[in-house]
Amino acid sequence: MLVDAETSAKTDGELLSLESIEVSYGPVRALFGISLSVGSGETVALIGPNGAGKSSVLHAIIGLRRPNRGRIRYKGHDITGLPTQQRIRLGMALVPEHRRILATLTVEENLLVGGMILPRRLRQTRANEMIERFEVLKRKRSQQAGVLSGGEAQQLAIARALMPSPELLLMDEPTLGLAPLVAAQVFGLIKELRERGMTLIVVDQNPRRVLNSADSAYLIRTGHIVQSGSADQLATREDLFGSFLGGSPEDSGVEPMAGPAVGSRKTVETPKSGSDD
Amino acid sequence: MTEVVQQLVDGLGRGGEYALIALGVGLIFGVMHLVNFAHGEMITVSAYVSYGLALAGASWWILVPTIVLTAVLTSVLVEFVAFRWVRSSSDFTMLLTSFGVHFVVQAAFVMFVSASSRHFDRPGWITSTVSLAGIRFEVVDLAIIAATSVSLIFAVWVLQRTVYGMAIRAAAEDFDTAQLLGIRPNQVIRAAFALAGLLAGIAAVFFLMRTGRAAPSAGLIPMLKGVLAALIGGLGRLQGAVIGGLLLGLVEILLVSYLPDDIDGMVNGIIFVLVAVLFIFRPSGILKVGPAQRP
Repeated sequence: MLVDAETSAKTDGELLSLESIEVSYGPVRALFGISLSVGSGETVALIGPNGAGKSSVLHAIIGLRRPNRGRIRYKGHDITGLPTQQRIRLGMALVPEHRRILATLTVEENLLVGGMILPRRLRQTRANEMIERFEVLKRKRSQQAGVLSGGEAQQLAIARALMPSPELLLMDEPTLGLAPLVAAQVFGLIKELRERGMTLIVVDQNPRRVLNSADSAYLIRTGHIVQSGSADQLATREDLFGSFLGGSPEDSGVEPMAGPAVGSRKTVETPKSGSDD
Repeated sequence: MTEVVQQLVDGLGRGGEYALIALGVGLIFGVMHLVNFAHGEMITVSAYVSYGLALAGASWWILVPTIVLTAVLTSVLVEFVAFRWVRSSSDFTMLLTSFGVHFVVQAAFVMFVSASSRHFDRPGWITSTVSLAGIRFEVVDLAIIAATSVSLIFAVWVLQRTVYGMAIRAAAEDFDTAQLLGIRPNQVIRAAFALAGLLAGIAAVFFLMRTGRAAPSAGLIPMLKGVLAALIGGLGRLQGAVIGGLLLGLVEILLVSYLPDDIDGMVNGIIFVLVAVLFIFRPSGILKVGPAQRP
């Protein structure tokens, strides 16, 4: 069992919300009043060009980056000031960009450390489940994780994040640097997790592929949300894909979005107001 | 031949002490990117506690566990008082803080005890020898080799087999990722300081048994040798710390044995020159060093 599917059936209840989040790296501001909402059991895609701020959104959610302004709510509680390790204990997990596998630890040790927050007995049981689920991990269980290929390391990164049975899984560029066939396997896994009712936020630079795997999506450019709506409908907007290829929001006829994003799964919204920056 | 074996055992005994200290230095460097120049204070504080207890008539059966416990508590206390609050500062700030701890502890003992050394009785068997296969060994050397072997096996078991050890190794490799997995920074750093304190405490037992002396700078030379051993092995590599410690002990004993009497005072100087030569050919030490990040 990958997730506690029985207990996390899809609901329409809001699991996570970001309200006007601003994040800076020193003097450089990366996010300008980002607001979004994620329902329980929903798969949300964050799309946008390089440097748009997609990863910064995930880092703000998981607590790696403290917002200068704004509020993050999870299961109705304000978690803006909570450190990362407490957010993990509340049921969040991140599959980080570049996998961040602990190369000097074995595959099994990576999994056990991934289950640090679990009781001791459950930790080993859960690691065994993951090893059974992922064939490659079974074969390389006792090997140092540093010897894994990119695709194998990605599977380990995902399995490690799934160890504590998170309710909300954040995935940052899960197919970055992977061969097309391996990337397709990763998206197959995302689909499986989605079908099992896990709430997912996925960042990927391939907009078509990630939109095909999501319920709703947010298009981020230069730290602003410029579009949001149902993934199906955004996938049909050819003008948006132009903006991925280097055009500005204005080129694509899209203006930065102000105020709380709607996160609707039904409509594509093109707000009329400018940035709240 | 007999002489070589005796020197080998003597060198391993000395090197074992250095390895215990170096392993602690390496552990702390791994999780905090800090070369802890306050690492010797565990020995200094333990020395004065031993002196106090010895004055009160305590036997070495009491002193041994007390020394180890004192070193663990001192290590954890130093982390809490001196390092926790500057952890997000630069490496240089941390380094200065560690020097600060060393000088504050030294000054405290000068002010409140004495600037001169205080002596206490060493155990009766410390100068005993035993004959094995026709070769005479000092009992203390064999005891050190046995104790350091057990300690290092225990440390390796903790680091390799327990989830806390895995957490320490994970944090030493990539602290950000460790936090992402739910590892609490304060907990893992405290655990690393406690383990480093335990190892230093065991080294301190034998150091104090050999010297029977408490002085404000008692921990300075062992600390410097431990740091040097960790550097030789490859700072941040735990296996490297052990190898570096043993190697340093062996070289030191061999130099003392074979250098002419009129220049054997230059042993430490020669060792530093040899280490400099080593770094010309292997700038990262014997084992390659991975990057370490402080939370």
